[in-house]
Amino acid sequence: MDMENIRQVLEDAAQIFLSAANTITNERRREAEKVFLQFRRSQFSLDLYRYLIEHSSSSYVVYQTLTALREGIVKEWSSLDDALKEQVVQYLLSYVYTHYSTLSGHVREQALQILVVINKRRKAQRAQIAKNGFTVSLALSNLLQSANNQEFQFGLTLLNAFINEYSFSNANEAGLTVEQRHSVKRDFEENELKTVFELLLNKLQSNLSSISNSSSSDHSLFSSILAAIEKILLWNFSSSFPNARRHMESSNNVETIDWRPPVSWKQLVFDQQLVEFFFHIYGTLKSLNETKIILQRRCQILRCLSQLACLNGSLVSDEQCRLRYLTTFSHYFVQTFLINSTLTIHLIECFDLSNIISNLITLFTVKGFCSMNNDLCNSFLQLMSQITVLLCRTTTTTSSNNQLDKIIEDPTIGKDTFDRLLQAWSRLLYGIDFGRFANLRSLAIEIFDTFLQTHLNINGNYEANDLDLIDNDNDEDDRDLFSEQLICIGLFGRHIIDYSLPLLIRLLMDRTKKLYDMMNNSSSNINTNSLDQINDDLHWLLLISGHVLTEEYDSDEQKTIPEAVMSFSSQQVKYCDLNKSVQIAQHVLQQSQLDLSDEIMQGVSPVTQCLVAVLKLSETERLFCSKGQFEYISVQVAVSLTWFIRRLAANYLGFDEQSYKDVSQTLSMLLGKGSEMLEFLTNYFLSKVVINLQMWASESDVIKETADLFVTLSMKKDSSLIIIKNDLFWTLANNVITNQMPIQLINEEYKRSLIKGITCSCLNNTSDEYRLHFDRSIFQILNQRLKSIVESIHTLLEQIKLNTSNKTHCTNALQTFYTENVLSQISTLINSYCGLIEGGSRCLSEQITYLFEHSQQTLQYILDLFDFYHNYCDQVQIILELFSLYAEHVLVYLNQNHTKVFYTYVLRLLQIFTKCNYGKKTKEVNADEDFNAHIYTLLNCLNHLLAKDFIDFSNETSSHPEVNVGDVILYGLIICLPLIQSDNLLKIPSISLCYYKLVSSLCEQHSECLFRLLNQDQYSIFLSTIKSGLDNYDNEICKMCLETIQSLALYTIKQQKLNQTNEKSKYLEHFLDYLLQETVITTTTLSDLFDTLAGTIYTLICAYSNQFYQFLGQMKQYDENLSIIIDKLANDIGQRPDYNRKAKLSFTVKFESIFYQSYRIVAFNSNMAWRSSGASHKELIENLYRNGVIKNQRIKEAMLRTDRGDFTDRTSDAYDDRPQSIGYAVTISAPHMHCFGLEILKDQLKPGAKVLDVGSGSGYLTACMARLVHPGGKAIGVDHIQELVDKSIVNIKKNNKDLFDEGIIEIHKGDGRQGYEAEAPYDAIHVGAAAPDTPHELIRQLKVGGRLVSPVGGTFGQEMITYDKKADGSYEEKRHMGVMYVPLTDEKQQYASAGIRKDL
Amino acid sequence: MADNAAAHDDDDFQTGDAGASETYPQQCSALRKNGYVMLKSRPCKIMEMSTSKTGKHGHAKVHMVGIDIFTGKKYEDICPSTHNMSVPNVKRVEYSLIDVDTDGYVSLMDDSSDTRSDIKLPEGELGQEIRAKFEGGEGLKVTVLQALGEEAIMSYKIEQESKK
Repeated sequence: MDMENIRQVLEDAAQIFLSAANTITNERRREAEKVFLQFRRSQFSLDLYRYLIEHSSSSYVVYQTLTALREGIVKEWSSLDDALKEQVVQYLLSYVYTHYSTLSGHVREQALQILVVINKRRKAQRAQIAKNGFTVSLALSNLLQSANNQEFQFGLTLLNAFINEYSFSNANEAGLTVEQRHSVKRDFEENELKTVFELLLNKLQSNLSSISNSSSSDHSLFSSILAAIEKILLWNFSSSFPNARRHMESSNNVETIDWRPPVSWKQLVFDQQLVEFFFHIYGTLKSLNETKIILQRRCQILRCLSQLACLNGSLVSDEQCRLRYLTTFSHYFVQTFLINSTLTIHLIECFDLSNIISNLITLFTVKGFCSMNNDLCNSFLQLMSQITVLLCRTTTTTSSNNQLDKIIEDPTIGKDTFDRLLQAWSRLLYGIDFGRFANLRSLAIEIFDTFLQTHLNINGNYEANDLDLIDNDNDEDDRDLFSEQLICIGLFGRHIIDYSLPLLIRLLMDRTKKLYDMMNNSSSNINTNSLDQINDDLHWLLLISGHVLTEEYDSDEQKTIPEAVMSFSSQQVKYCDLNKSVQIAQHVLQQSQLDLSDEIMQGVSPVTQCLVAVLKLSETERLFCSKGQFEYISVQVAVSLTWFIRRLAANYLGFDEQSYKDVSQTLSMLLGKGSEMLEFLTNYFLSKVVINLQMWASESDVIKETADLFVTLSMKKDSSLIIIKNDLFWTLANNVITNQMPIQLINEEYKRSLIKGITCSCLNNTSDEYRLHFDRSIFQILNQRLKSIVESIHTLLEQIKLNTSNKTHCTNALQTFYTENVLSQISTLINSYCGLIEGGSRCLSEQITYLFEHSQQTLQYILDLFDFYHNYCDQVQIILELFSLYAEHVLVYLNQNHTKVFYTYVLRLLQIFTKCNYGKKTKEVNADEDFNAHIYTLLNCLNHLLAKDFIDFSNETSSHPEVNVGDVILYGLIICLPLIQSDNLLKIPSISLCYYKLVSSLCEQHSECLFRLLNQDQYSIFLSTIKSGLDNYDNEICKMCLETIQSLALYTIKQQKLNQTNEKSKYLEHFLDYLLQETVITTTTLSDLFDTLAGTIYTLICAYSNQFYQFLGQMKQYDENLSIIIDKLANDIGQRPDYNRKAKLSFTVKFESIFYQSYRIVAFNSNMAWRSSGASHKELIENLYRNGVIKNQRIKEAMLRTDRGDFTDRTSDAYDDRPQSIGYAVTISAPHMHCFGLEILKDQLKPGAKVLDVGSGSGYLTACMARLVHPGGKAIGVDHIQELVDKSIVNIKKNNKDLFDEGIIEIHKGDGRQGYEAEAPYDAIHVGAAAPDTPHELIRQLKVGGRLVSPVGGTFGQEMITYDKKADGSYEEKRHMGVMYVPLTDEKQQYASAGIRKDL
Repeated sequence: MADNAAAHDDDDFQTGDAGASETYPQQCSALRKNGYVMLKSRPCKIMEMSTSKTGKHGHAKVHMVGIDIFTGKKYEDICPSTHNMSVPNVKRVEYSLIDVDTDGYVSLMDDSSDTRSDIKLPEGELGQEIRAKFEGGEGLKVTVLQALGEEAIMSYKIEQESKK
């Protein structure tokens, strides 16, 4: 196929591929895409690429061509000669340069990338290549030194390509090994990158003066230099340490990318005062008029500086060096920004300034920071707080007046910046010696105050201050949204707690009083604006106080009182009246009007004051509600208040005095174990829960916090003991259990939390009294309700069945059970059991066993309900959830009998579920999603069952359980597999993950069950799900599938040892083939799972060694170059591999190298053109022989005697190893393809044989074949172009006239597709053009034992296939490699396509 | 709402009368996703529920998106969480399919062998499948969805011989 044709095909495809989405079917688009894929896989041909690049009008085609060129260079690097590479480099450089402005970006990048790839590969084999020649690196530095603007820009683009190519250190695009990639990257860093960095710095210096002229071209040049410098400053240098360590270090702090230039950069970084240089440029910019452009440049400089603040690695490995660098940096930093008061810092600059600070503190650590001299530290802190305050003020007010700041388009940047700066503060505050820095305290106060000021209406001037309360688009709660800020402000607050706590208390009380006054003076019209502002203040004050008094903990950590609060409280003891502190708290509750004036509070300890203030607020809230003045209180404040109480309860209630060095007397009197106030407060918090439920039942946000508070109280031993003695608790419990008002109004989720809390409180203490109480007033009530429902249903069903007289009545009565009201009660009931289990799971094992023992009947009832309500998805879902919870939390504690009982229930559940759902089809709204949720929960439940094998807390020691978990799960799987299969549910990610997790652990532990219980059909269905897992999913699932296969194979091995093989053990066999194919031939995605893959393959090999050797045999035929590798592999494994761990491990290691070697061979073979060209025919053939393309001596001789020069039109490149046009739209194949044809037919091409060459074209191959069957044989060539037939006869006669004379060769005109019947049958048939599919007619003309070789396929995507004819007339087909041939056509078409051909 | 509490008496289950109301009231906050609600006088399944606030300190409002259980049409509503909404009683009755006539009417038989033939096959794919399967000789069970006096066949299932 000639170039013009290819161009046309490609352009057509590009047009289809690029057309708009709605104008074309996906099918066609895919086809077009495939054309390009095939094109890129086809033979490397620089001429073709150049032709396409120069002649194609579609930039997409050019792009694809460049991609093909790049891929070709990577794959065939070693076979391409240097001159050619040189040619490519020159060509592309001049091409890009001349078309620089017209090329589209991605095309240009692709072209430049090729240059860098060549540069990279050359570097990798540096030793062999002389350095004197022209290199891409040289071009780069020349361009960057050029005074010509366009050349310089070109240089920058090239630099970009360099940076892109070298920075992808993990991509194997350039076909290098890991070590090679590592070393070329380092080489690049030491040479090109360093040179370029120096050049750019010089350029920047020389351009600095021009920046004051505001010409835009100067600016854009300046800006692009800076951008390039920035990229280098962001460069991820290869580490001088082993990789692992690097990974560990970087994972600690993902946000900062540290800058680690190698030692050779030392001079550049230190001697040239890089830091000073950048601050100097910033200084120059600063002195200019503040225009938008100048400000942008300033930001660029700051970005560079923030990267310089990340200097790390070998340059600063020495402590002294680090300190010097940090000191220099801080010095200039402070000098530029703090001392110089004339400078206005813009908000947009704050972003980078925060980065600089945060980077310095992260990289140089707080300790390093503290070792700078005091003055500098103080100045630094001052600057830091100055920026903090500035940011705090600007980010909380909506609009900035400054035009220049409007550059920030995304408002979240301001918040992110502030967050980042505060994180730096947090780090600093945790590590710093607070007393050492004189001004730190005042700075902390300033920041704390500013934060308060910006969030509160500090002056009480409510009317005037128009804070943005309207911003309610954002659904996220302030507490989550500003958590970073609040944590840090809390930290500040604790450092200055003697200042912050009294202030917060004062403000809290002040706002509470204002709120209270407002209600009492209520005139007819409420000023909603000022009311909202008071509420907003309260909300923020609660959040801030909460964060000052408590620290953020992960949920399971032991919660404690912060040390700062504890020591502050004990310092204050001497000023406090302890008794008064206790009294005052109780007073608040009794006297609602109590005015908490300063005199009253005199002598009360601060923490108590804070408690009192909060209690007061809570009481005020209750008062409003009791008066029905709901409009005065804010839901938001109720949420924050409940949150505050929960935090306090979790950290302070009944705190453990043992774990503090210095226990405050006040705190221990107030909240310590057994104190009077502890009981009082705990009971108050419980009443708060009850009141909240009443007041806020319809506000889910408040209820969520309230439920959490209740759970917190129940989980703590001390407080749970207190609350269960309170009648309120039992009233609440009763309300919850019977779902009365107000519980009815709240969401099921929170009801569950409440039950969980109740159960936890009751069962968590050793006293039997409360357990009995629990039994009587909670557990039994639930059971009775369930029982009565189920029994009523049973009775009714029974009566209906008996067809009694009152049947109609019964039917109607039964209908009641389907009303929404009853349905929701059923859900609530089951949900209560869920809560019970969740709560019980937090208790001792006896308790949970007790729960199970008493719920066996319950589970039976629930199963009945499950059957009855199988059409109601909500009820089905909650019942499944309940079983899953049982399996998760209860099962591990059960003894054998109970376990067995539970298993039967689960199986029953599965049976009912399947019975009701199999073969069901519905168009109900959302039914699919509901069903998916059911399946997911079921699979989860089965997964939990399996966990019993690992963790078993039951008291029994017997190691022989009567019922095998594996059996149960497998029964379960048998039951639900048809459901999963029929709806193709494995397509859904969550379900598939669950399913594969289940089967992989099932097979790991119980592979024998599969063999024992599954019949052949079921087993093969099961395996098909595994196969589809391997085909369709990501690594996680693939890994599980591989493990499953491995477990099954292991079991097969065991069986084989016992001589107990059966039909089923055969089923795994095809996985061996499949996996080997995947790894060796297609080399796929599985490479990430190498260890698992190798392990699985090894296990399979052990199980099916015969199969394995058969496969190896096939591989050898596929490609003989693999022989050596394969023999080695076979040798390593031995004839009868025995499975053991050690052997498996050593196999993994060996397999990896084999894997990579074979990968190279296969990749190489699919593109092996251009490799053996020579200057003469003899040289060509010798090359082919040396390269192993010709293996057979006879073939070599035959080819030597047939000079290719006789058969081509042009003599100039007659001996190039590539196809050449011979007119009439056909080619003479590349010599290596001729060799392939002859080699593959070598067994048939014996003297005396009769052979046919279809599409003989030039006649070259026919002549070779004739030579090989000589003497006595006959070679027939057939071609349908008369001119070619004539020409080939002339060609052959040039030097091989003897063949004609002896009648060994004949060339006929004819349709090759029909073969040549007159001389049939043949020992061998070679087809020199692509058949669209299996050439049956030709196969018919083969002798038994004969072989046909032909390319098969369309214009693209052809494969070389051999057909071996067997005695029974059938044939065996074998695929060899991808090729690109002209198609087999008829005469007319051939002329037609020749007619449009342009000569090259 | 106090009258709801009466439903907790266990007797209530036995005395259920035929005229069980078509809807019953429930407060918005107690509604949940996947439950049913009347939106624009149509029985709907709640697909989405989200709360928003009336101003930062205001009360919650519930935003609901529901899909008409019969027509599949989408409805939305927003109301204060304290508001009472009507919840339709949605029933599902399973019948054995005994005949399908040419007009599309079907004959159905319930568990107690009562028959009815006043329901039509659903339009579209489901109806065609039921007809095809029935005519192919398979035993089918269909589920009829009932709410507010409206009835329609919503699903079918091939009857299996019990495998025990």
